[in-house]
Amino acid sequence: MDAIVFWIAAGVAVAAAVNLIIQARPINSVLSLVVVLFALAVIYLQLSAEFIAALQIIIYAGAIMVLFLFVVMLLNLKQGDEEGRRGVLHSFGLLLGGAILLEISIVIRLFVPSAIHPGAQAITSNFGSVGQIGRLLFDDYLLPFELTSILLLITVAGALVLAAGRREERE
Amino acid sequence: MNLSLFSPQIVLGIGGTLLFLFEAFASERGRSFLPTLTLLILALSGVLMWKSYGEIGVLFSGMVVYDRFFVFFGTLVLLGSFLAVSFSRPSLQQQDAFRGEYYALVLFSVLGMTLLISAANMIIVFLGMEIMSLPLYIMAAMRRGSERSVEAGAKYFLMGAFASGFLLYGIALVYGATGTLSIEEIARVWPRGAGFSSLGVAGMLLIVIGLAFKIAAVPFHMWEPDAYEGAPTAVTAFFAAGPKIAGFAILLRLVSWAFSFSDPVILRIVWMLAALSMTVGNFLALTQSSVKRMLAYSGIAHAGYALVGLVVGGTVAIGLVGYYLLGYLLASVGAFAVIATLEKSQERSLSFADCAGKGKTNPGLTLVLTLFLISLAGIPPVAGFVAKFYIFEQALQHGFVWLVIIAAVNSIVSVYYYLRTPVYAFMKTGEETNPDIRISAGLVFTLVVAALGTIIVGISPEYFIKLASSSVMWFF
Repeated sequence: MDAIVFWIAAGVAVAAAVNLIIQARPINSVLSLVVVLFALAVIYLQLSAEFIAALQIIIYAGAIMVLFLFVVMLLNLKQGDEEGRRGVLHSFGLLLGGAILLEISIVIRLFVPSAIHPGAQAITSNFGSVGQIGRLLFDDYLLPFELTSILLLITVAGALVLAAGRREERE
Repeated sequence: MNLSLFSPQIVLGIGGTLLFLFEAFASERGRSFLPTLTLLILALSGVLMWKSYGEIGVLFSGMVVYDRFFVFFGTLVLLGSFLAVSFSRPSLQQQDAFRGEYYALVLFSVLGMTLLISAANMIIVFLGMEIMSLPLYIMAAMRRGSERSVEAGAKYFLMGAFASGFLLYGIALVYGATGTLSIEEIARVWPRGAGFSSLGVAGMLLIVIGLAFKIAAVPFHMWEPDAYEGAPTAVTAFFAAGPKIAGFAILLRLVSWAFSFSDPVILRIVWMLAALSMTVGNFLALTQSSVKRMLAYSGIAHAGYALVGLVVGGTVAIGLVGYYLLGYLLASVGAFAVIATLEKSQERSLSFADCAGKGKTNPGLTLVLTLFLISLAGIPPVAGFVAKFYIFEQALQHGFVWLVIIAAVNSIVSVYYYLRTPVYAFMKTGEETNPDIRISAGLVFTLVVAALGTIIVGISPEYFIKLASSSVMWFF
């Protein structure tokens, strides 16, 4: 049962990701990204990371995607540039990308499972619960948590510095 | 947990936040104090950094450490930023790029650098890198009216985002291979001399690539010349001072401690990065006509020389990298300060031809510029020469003959382009003189400290080398 659900979710994720890239209209790409994120949330659930799955849907599929939609609509993007989609570079990129995909899948099949450290696999019964994540966030990972807020402050301030003109120009 | 060991970073973080608020509410007159406030905060952070020198503390459940390594490289970063900020106001005003927010961004960026240097956990490595870099992208694009400045910011941002991607993927793979994010734990899981899993090697390589972007080692250097040239020159001085040194610091900590060099693949990759950076950096510097671009390529070459020390490894050589970076820092910030003053137009950066005759009209400025260029070229008796000499000697002793040959040839080549500016300045006559070269007190301070530093660090190297090598002692 687990395997069937996984393959369905993984298949949907990959198909939607491919669709995201080949769509000419940005709106369709954004909507396929929502599908990708939902399918990933299902896989997170299977890995007994319920909280992360919920966050994935609320924050990524919900908040961030709505933001993306707003940006796409506000910018009023037209059909993507068709020139760049054909041409030599395009097929060359496809070739290179395909080669790397093949390479990575061979490497993963041959080497990775044996190389993963066993410590990374140990899972306790309340793994992934809100309580445990909260404890980690405000205990062991307090400093990274706080630093992330500084990082967000910098991005907001930076966007203002770049987007809003100088004070003299504004007044 | 002794929180006072973390106070240098706390001061920078709170200082940056307060400066943002101050900038928003202050009057025109109040904002003219921003550079002074920034300098005070940097100095306070430096004092707090040295207060507990010699102690070792692990803070926030193993997220950051306080050790001699942090104090040494942290001081380098603070010193470089101090020098770059102290002449910034008149220079930025001249280029029509003076923004109050610049100073808060400087403090945040320095916060990121100090975090990067003190990181003991891969999460802090990543966050420190981002906190350091985001303000840099903004600063590069700060001259909004100028296409080049916006281009510099966009290029820097895109390349930086790539670098973060590499770094993060590498961290994830290393986590998969070791089951931990703590640098100390990684060093324990991968003991010296033990072989690595292929997953671990892939992770380490990706991390090294991510950091190579930050120190602009060839072939990950593409962003540097454009970012350096497009940004306002006072900002370029800051670029040369801080980020490179912080990037080197974390590279040294990771490669010589956590990855402990037991895998020959990493050693070979760093060898190649060093050889390529020296050669490509130097030969591209030869072809430049803009002094700023020439210095950008020379910065790439210098990253290569310093990487030679990392290839050699061991307390002495890694310590010498610290000493080398000190010499590079003083000379390059000083050189950019002079260029910022000599520049006349906002759009076109200073070319060699513009320097013609400057030896007569501005003898003082040209003389100190010559001193800095001599140090960068590695001509005795200044800091650059001593640092290069010792690093090459170490490399020879450990049998890296080819690397030393490449480095020596490159050093000789570099003399040509470094001495081009003085030759133009002193031996050719300029057709026009620039009347409005203003020398501010801050500029005098930067130049005097950088020039005296270059000479003192070069003439009595023992103290500084001892300081640097005692800072890396406990990696080995």
